[in-house]
Amino acid sequence: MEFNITVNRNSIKAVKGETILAVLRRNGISVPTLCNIPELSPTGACRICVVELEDSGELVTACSTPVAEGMKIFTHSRKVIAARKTIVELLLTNHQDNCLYCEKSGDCELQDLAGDLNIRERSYVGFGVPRSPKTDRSDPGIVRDMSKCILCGRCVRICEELLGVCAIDFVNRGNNIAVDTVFQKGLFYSNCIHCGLCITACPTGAILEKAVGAQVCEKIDNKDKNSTIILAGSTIADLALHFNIRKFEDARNYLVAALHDIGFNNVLTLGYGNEIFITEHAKKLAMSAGKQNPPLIISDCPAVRKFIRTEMPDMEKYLSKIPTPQQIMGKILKSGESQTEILVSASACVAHKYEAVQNDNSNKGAPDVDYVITTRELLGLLKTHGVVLPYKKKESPDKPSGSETSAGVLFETKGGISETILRELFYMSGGQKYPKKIFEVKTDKPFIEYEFELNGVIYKIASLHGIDTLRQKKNEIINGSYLFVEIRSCTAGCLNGCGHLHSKDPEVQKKLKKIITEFDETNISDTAGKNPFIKGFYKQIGKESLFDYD
Amino acid sequence: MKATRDITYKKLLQKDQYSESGGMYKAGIKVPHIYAERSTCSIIAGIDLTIHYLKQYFEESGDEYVYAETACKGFCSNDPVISIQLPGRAMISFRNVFYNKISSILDSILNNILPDKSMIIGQYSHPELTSWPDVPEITQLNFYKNQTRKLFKYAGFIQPLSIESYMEYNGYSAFAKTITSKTHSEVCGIVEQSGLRGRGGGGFYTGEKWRKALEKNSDKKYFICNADESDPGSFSGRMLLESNPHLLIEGVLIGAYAINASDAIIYVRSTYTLAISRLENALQQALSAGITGEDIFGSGINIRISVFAGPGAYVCGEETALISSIEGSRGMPKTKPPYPSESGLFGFPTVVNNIETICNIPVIFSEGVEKFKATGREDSFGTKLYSVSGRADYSGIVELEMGRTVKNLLGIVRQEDNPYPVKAVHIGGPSGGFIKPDDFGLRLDFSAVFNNNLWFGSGSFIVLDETNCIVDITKYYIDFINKESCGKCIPCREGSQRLLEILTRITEKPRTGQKFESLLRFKGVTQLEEISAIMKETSLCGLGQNAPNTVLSGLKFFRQEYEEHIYEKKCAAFVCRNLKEYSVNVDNCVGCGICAKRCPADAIIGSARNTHFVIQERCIKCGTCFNACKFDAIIVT
Repeated sequence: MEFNITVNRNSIKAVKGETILAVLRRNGISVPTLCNIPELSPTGACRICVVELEDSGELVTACSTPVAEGMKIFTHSRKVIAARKTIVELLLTNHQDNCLYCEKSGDCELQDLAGDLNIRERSYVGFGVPRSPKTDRSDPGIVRDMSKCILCGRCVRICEELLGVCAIDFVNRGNNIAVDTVFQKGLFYSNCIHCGLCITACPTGAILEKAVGAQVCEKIDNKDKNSTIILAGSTIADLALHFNIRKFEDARNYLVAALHDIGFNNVLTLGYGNEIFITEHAKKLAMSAGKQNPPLIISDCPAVRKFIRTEMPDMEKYLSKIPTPQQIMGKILKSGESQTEILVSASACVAHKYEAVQNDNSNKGAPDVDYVITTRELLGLLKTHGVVLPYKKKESPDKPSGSETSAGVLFETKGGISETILRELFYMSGGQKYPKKIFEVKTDKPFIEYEFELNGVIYKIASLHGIDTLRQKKNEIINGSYLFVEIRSCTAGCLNGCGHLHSKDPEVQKKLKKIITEFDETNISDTAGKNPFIKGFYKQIGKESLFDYD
Repeated sequence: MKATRDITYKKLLQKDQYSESGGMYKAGIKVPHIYAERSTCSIIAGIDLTIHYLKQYFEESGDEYVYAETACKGFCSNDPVISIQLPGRAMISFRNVFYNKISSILDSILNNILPDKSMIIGQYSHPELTSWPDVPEITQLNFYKNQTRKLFKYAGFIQPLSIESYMEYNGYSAFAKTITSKTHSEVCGIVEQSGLRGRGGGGFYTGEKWRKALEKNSDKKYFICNADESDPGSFSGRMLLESNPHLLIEGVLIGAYAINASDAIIYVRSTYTLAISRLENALQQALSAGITGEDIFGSGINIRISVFAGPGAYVCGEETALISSIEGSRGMPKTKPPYPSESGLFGFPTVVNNIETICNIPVIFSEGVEKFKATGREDSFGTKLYSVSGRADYSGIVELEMGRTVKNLLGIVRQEDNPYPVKAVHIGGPSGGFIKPDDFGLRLDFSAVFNNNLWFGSGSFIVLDETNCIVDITKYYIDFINKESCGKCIPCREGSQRLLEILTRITEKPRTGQKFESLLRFKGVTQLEEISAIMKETSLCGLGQNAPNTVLSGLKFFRQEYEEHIYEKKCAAFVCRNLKEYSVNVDNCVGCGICAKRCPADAIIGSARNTHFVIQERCIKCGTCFNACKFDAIIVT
């Protein structure tokens, strides 16, 4: 049912059941919000989005109040602005003032809000006792500085509603309320899957990734040690977008040159690891083709792996035991003839930080991957060294990732695992013409099925994104007679990993995807098997597969 | 089971009129009957020890007697109360019967001699029984005479542990008639006609709420009784539960039937242990009598009642927070709409009513709408319970007709010759406000109370006199709100913290050396109003919206007291400790040194036989020196 409502004396259309905020946003009227996340249920906790009802003079929250016929509202009356200002002032009273030293400075929603509402002094002076001065540093990837928390509850809701993990929730009451984990032991000891979604949800600098950029700089200055950095495809695409570079390979080559100049001896791309991951799985599937029931669960996502291990132990036996591409590269580079001593991995993923410190990813206590940095940290590293892309020169990545195929990059997109493994399966079975762009088109669905025929047998595969979807589709996966199922925790694959520069904006997702698909379209070698280094690698180790876990 | 049910049903339908001779003070008893009013209030006063010595007394003497446990009649300042009925004599009640007094009372009364007059409350005369000479009638006492007792009519007579006792007073017959002869809609109609309004504070029309839930189509509906009474200073809900749990159960049964709910939950705070045990006992009795449970009275209707012990949070009195709490999550309010009558507990239509509201239901159904509407006025009918405390001579539960004035109520709880005049009255708990003496003509009904920016809350009524500091009391309530706020929305969480900080600052002397301290104290009052306005307008739930009422009414009526605190740094009531200053009167001081010896902070110096002095920076304002000085040489300013 459509009707009109009056906003600031202008009539606009609204549909029954919508909230005021949704109508205002659709009509381009901006109302500040703090606790609102459009895809989650409104809580009305922050009260910043209040609007005035013309008839009663009442203030109601736009995010949670449904529109009613004949409603007359003011979005920016004096009363509304004064209320918003006071609310933010109240919030700022026991918030730290040290924005200069805060990592979130410049990107902080609270800072923006205070600026927009023209708050130029500390109106209310509190007793200066920080609410909960505790900082949770237990997790290798995520740091929660509770003195900066404004208790909007966005992290709590995103963890509960989008993921269904509920690692954090409110504890205590009144002014002692805080966001904390079970028994207040810290994230590492909770059921957190370390995906880092809470980092993207936090409006202030209360939840951030554990920054290791400074340590990395220190280590690479030591010229006695051979240092290597691995760049993930999504990171390169993200930086390309950030610096407005259209082509993926240009951005990659600029970055390689710049990182060489910064001091890394070797700059590799994660595509090589991805290709080994693809090849390994394709070989495994080819061997057991038709016998896979229940299916092989393929995931390069440490968050999904931890979730299955802790929450769905009955599914763990279906989970592929081949390490993730980052750790494959770590194992290869830290052993054999490669001379790497310090290995840094730059990816869009926060969970990789957690993964790198796991016991099975280390060699006699020394981790295979020494440091994991996010795209944000890599950008910070580049900024510190005054690097702007386009850089003055281009260099190709060092061996063995010199001639990566487009499959290694496409792998990181949504449905990329399925698509690239499918290509490899077709390629291995004798160079049949393989279907392309299967999973690309259906971008907004969390669960995609695909049927194909290979050597006269019909197979079914599926691609699943999001922990919540995994919970819902658990039985379908087990009983669905799929050949394999791809699972990732982030809804758009690694392209909206939580270490990205702009992981929240769907428009950015499209642009990132475009950069990668264009690279895929223009590249002739488009499946892992076409990479000569991969062939060479297997010849060198003298085995059909690197991992024999069966 | 079926047989019990039918017997109960027949028994209930036969009872039409409650006979005055039934119940407690029966004629024709053979041995002394002794009744102990055992409630939480009297347990605190020490009744358990009294009962122990009472039983010991009879064990030693070997006399036969009948002992029964009743509950407090609401006259809590008399606790512990013991009532005794000898064969052929009127029942007589004694006040403040502590363990050391019970044997002397029994000694005299069993020999037909009246003990000390000061211990006697009064007697209940009965035409067939001999009255005690020169003993006042309890019903004619000022405290009881001016009350209109409906919910508490039988409190103190009914034995809360016995369903038969409730049935003797016509209990459950209203429900038995309702469930077998009226449709759901008719029941809602009766409540609508009665104009009953929610006693939890908001004053919504109960009938309307029920009608909405009844009209909502759903497989399952819930009826919830909110007995999570947590206002400081209110205890009427606890007294209802302890004195007559069956009254509540009957109300819940009628309510659940009215909205066609098969499940009812009574949410009691877990700290009310006696209330919960009595309620659970009562529920068990009702279940075995066939009054609750499956297929009640052969009507095919199932109403299952369960007790939920709430973990105890003030905000859980808010209905959406209460529902979250029952669901097992954190008790935090949700945004409305959707209202619970559309989507409440586990997403099903739910009605949440306050305990006092529900206890009114059996009253309406047994005495009829006409008679119910005869009490009260305009838009508020029936009675209201007030939990009276503070500087009242008689504290306890007062049940008063709606629309009586504050003066009427004060007349009941204050002696006329009390030398200390009442400075103010605070009603409604943390969400309520002050009433100043000029406004004591205020009629206590919903429209008048709301028009004066006040709030009934759970009916706490605190009498204040000159020894109470308005700023200090406001600070207490804001501290309570600050601790009990769920912490969800910013205005309530941060606003209450700011208010508390400002009030704390006002009630302290500025610490020297702090540059802006004085300025902050001055800014305080304007900021109090600013923050209060924002809290009122933008808070998520009723807790935050009504939290600043105490501040606002205090500022409105007692502004001079705030100003005194700020400008003169003085608390006239000598309550705000950090504004006091102890000094030595040089003329009176003989130099005995006792003050210096006693001072825990070493703040007093001086040599023997010479005048001593107080070092203000060290003084912790404990008042030890003031109490120690025998020469009135310590002065407080």
